[in-house]
Amino acid sequence: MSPVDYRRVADLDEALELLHRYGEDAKILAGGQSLIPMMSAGLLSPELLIDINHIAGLDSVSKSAEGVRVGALVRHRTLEVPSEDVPSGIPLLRPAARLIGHSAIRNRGTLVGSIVHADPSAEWPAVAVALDAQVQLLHSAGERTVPIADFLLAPMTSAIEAHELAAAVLFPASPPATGVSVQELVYRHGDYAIVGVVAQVTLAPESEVVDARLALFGVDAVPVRASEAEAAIGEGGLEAFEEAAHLAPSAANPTADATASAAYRREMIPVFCLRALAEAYIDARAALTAAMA
Amino acid sequence: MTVDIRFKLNGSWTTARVDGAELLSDCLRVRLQQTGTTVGCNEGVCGSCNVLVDGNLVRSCLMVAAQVDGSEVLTVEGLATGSELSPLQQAFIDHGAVQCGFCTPGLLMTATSLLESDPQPSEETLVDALAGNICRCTGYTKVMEAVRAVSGAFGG
Repeated sequence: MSPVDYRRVADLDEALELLHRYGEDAKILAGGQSLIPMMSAGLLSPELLIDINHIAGLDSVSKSAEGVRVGALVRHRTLEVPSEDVPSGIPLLRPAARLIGHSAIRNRGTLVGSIVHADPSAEWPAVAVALDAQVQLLHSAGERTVPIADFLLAPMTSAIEAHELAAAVLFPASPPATGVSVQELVYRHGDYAIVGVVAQVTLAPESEVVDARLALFGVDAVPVRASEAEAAIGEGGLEAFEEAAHLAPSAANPTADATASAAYRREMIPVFCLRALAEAYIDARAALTAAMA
Repeated sequence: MTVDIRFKLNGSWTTARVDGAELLSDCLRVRLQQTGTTVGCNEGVCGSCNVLVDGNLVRSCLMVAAQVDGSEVLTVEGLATGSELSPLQQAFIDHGAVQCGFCTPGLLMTATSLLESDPQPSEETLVDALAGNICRCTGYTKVMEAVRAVSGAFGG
């Protein structure tokens, strides 16, 4: 590898100034769990690594009326364990975090980094799609906030520009009486999903389903919402779960790779959708009981 | 472009002049001649290269050395006290948990880290923790026996 420069920046201004100057020749180093192996594999050759790990204030998870803001340095590990530092309000965060790789990866990797990396088989982009999250991007002259649907463009490709830093992902608040599930078809725990499903179900006081979200990952270029399936549940509630599971494959466009054929992925989508919906519903019933207690 | 780093390696302050993209694993093994840490895949999958940085288990092939400036790093060389092996290392020997030995340093760091935070892990926790280390030889049974044998001896 040719010599690479490394700068440990003290604040965001310094990071943004370097990005402005170096553009595509620089890469932000946060978790590094995707960046560094890509460099080792020769897929990326930045001239400069901008280490943002020592910028204060980027590692917070904060709650407001709008929802929950996850900062750039929030590790998977932080979201995996119950903690007073992580306000409740987005129940999907914990089950998703637990499925990522192994503990050594989770100690360093970040949610924001995972979303910028945009691996179609990863958990966080799918959670963001399920919840209509937004990505806050900073650059030296300003900032912009991009809805997740406009942010994830293609495998490993997001809308971030070379001079931008992703500072946070914003998740709208989940209503009470909401249950969640993340299901993955994997050979081994910690693998990228062959088929992945994120499900969230919200109930009204009499246990009717008033909102259902279903996002699929590992089965298309980007995570996709199974909109027809969601609509079926909107019409028929719990009784429509099975029908919805069988409508889900139409939202996806799976391709074959070393781990599975496209046909197998397509066949497994309804199986994992039904499991996810069922688990999310049971979880929602428990949340409803707790909310009414 | 090189970076001067100063960090605590197995309890002793150590300095090195590293390239900005030099991996922590390569710095330890090649530059600092601490070859206990092994590198199996260089992509963060196998766990052989696991070390502790500021008390946290990390893949040393997924960090650049420059990142540990000012930090404390614990490698497999730091587990023994002089010539006295740690209880976990001794248990690995006593229970036959080492065959080719390539994955062993990573397994020892994973198990050391686990027992520090969870001195009496459940079976599920133990399996989950070890799943992050690939061992081609032992089938894991003896490894788990060794860890179980010393669980409860840490953190007391």
